[in-house]
Amino acid sequence: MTDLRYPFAAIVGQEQVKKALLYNLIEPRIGGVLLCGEKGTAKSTIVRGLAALTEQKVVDLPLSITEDMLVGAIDFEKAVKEGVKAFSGGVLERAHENILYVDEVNLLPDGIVSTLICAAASGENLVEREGISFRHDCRFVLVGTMNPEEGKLRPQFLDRFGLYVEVVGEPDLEIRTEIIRRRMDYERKPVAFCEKWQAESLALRKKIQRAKALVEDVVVEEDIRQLAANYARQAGTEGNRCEVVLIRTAAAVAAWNGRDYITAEDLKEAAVYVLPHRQRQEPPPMEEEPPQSPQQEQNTEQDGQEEQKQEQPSQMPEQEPEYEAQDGNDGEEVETPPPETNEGGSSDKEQLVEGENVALLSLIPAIPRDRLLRQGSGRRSKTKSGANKGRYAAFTAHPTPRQHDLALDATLRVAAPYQSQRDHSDCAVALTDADLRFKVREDHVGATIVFAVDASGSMGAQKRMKAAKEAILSMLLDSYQKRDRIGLVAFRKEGAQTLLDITASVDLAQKKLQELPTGGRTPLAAGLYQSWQLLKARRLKDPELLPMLVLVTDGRANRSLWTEDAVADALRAAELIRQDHIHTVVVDTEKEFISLHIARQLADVMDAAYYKVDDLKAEQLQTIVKSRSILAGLDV
Amino acid sequence: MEHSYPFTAIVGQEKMKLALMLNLINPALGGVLIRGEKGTAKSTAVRGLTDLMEQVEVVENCPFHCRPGSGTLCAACREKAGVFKTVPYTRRVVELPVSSTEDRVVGSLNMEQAIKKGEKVFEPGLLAQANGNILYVDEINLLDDHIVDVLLDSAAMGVNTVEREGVSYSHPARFVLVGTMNPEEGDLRPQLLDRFGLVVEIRGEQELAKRSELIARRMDYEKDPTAFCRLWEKEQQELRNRVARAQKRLNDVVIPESLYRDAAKIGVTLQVDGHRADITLLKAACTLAAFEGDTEARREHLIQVAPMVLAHRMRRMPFDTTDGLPTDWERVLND
Repeated sequence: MTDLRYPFAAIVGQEQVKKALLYNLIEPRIGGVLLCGEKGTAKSTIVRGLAALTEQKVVDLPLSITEDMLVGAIDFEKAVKEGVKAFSGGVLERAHENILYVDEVNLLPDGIVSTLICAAASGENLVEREGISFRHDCRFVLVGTMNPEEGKLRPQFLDRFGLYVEVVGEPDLEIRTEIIRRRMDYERKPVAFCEKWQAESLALRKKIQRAKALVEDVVVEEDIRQLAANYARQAGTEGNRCEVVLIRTAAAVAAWNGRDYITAEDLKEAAVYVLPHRQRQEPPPMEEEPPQSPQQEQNTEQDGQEEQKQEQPSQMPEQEPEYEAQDGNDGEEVETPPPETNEGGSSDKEQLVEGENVALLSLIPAIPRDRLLRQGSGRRSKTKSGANKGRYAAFTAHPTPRQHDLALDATLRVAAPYQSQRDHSDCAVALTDADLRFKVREDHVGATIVFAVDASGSMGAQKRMKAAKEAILSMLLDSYQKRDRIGLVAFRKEGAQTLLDITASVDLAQKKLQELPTGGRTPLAAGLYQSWQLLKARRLKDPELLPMLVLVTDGRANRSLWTEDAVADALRAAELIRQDHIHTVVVDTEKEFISLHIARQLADVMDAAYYKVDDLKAEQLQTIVKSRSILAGLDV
Repeated sequence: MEHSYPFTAIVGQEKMKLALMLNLINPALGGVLIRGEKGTAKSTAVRGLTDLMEQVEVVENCPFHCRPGSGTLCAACREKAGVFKTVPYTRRVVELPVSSTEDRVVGSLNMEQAIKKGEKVFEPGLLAQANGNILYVDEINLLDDHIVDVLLDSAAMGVNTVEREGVSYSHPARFVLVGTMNPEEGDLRPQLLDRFGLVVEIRGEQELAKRSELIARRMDYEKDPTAFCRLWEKEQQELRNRVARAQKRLNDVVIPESLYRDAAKIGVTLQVDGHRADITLLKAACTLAAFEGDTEARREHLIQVAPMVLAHRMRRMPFDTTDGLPTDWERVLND
């Protein structure tokens, strides 16, 4: 069959992506690569093109995969027809010694991710299910692509990818023009296009083969090992996988360049791919070089290359003794603050790697990550769905009135071992009631967040309202990614008004928020009460919903609802909300020197997270909303 | 057969009609998303495409209606290695209802074969039906997340890979994705949004004369659909011919050197994500040229399609209510 996929060799630009993949072909033990970047940057096209360059196959892992197809299961065809209990391999079996490719890897369901992590970590697949016990080797190059707009990846999973590349579109006009030209040529005459590139593809294939043979012989000297260890420590990575991956990658770099020894340059190049997703903290901004696009990054590196090559021989031997000498007297001397994570008095060690390494780390765009907050893909949380909708995640022998879809595959597997003993009068498969299994579906549940916004005259002071709107907006943007539903209640003058009933349209919420008029008194109690009503009504319709309230106010309540005392009323409304277990965030916009701290009191009553509007940055706000949903016990 | 409302009889909504025509001519454009309020003939227009679609030759009894010579055949057709009997097949609009379950969309284990014969047989789903056709999702923004994921998977690669419920199968799934949505009901995920080649924003016709014409036609149609369709058959046939001519011409439309650059320039200047926009711009311009009977794609074509290609790909600032598109495209290109 003629391969009419877009040839790898014909890809314009994206050098880092190409290199990262090639290194993995040369040294599969690197452990794969995660391509993270914006839409439409040829991520998938490049990966597909790999198949033509190597004996390894590209095995697809579709997002709709079920557990049994990933790990393998009993072969019911054999069981029924031959009465043999046999194992039928899944995707993991096919992926062995091949490339396992997951497009949009951040959208993969959690259960599948866990299985993948286990298999990748142990290098084997252990199956113990449905009367089958089986194990097979399972070492693969894991290649994933993701668009961060759609959600993040679990840290444990992130760490499983040997390399990381941030993919961005090519900014250069000439390169872009060439990209369009080639793509059009390819689409119009795919056969001719592929033929035209055949020679180059072949040359590339040969070069990979040579490098593959060579990588076995690459020697790793002691100084290189130490330099790798230094890089890893500087980046503050957890565990020691990082060093190992660094050296393996550097070996691939060396082999690719036709050498059987690793230079400091190789290691430095390797670090660009190995460290970004493992760095614990973002390095402090360096003066010379902010994080750049990969293209520019490479150029800068090349510029500096000559100079560094000369330094190298003299620098390396020096490092060794210094390193050893300092091991003994950790933390005794030198107060110079290290540029990166400072752990357990290792500050002095940082000194010996001054200059070069430090500059390098700042070149690697540290990707923001959060070790505390685990976060699933896309929506805020996932729950076992009570109704016959959602993703088929597992099966059960005990159907509920609302979940009674027959899981045929599971039923057949359960019944398979007994087929030889059963009576088959009209069907090949004899099923009994005890065999029946039913689908358990899993559905994503976004939070339902009501924003109660103070729009009274006291908020009208331009800046305060602006700050409040900005704060809300940043939460809205997060909601957009998490597929939350939102509502908007404003309170001013005589009472509260529902500006936006609960909706999934962030656009609409933005519009309403922008138009929000201010002025008049502060009916805080009414605002709280109305928000509570809104959430309660929603919860009646959908008991599985995760309700949240975000109150934005300066707390200067001066219009009562039930009694004469506006503040007391507000506190009473707050009490109602707390009793209903609604998770709450209070954003205090009070700025006066003589603070009344009413918003603070409200937060205490509602057991809410409390923040001053000035202290909040966009990311922080998002984190707040997230950690609240974790408190609610709903994040998986 | 039930007569759907003729496409040519739709009053106004020229942008939407053009976007649909371009996708009918060139399935590689990446589909179209129609955003707009209720009652703006969105669904009528999409369903009306059925009557305009051309006949093609497909492999007999192939569940994916593979077209010999199209380069992407299913495993069974590949095995036949060029020796197959073909039958005529009219391309059509396959609807994906919002309530669809995953197994029906991607396909699953054939229950009858499994129980009666104890055999694992793949039962094709909607994506199999959609191969070579138009896949239409009404209210696409209300689609469950996991169904969207599946659509993204196949739309990206033109292949539906099934690894579920005991079956492992893969078949071609190249379809033109057409979605309609009311933006007030919620947004579309950015990744899915980007998959759409074109996006058009539509509103109800405001002009009184047009509105009254619209009502008149609709009432005529409802009174006697057969007669109404007969009345419009001439226009329909003309449009069919025009589409056929454009399809024939499409691959020979000359792309002048400067146009590649123009497309790249727009991408760079407007800072759109990735390169899909640039490529789609040029493809859409060529398709428009073919539709208008031109032998060469020109800058006017590019400028005419630009809003449809770019509106959904602009980086929008918070609280920005404009679409962020330039008003003077010539200036962007000449700068």
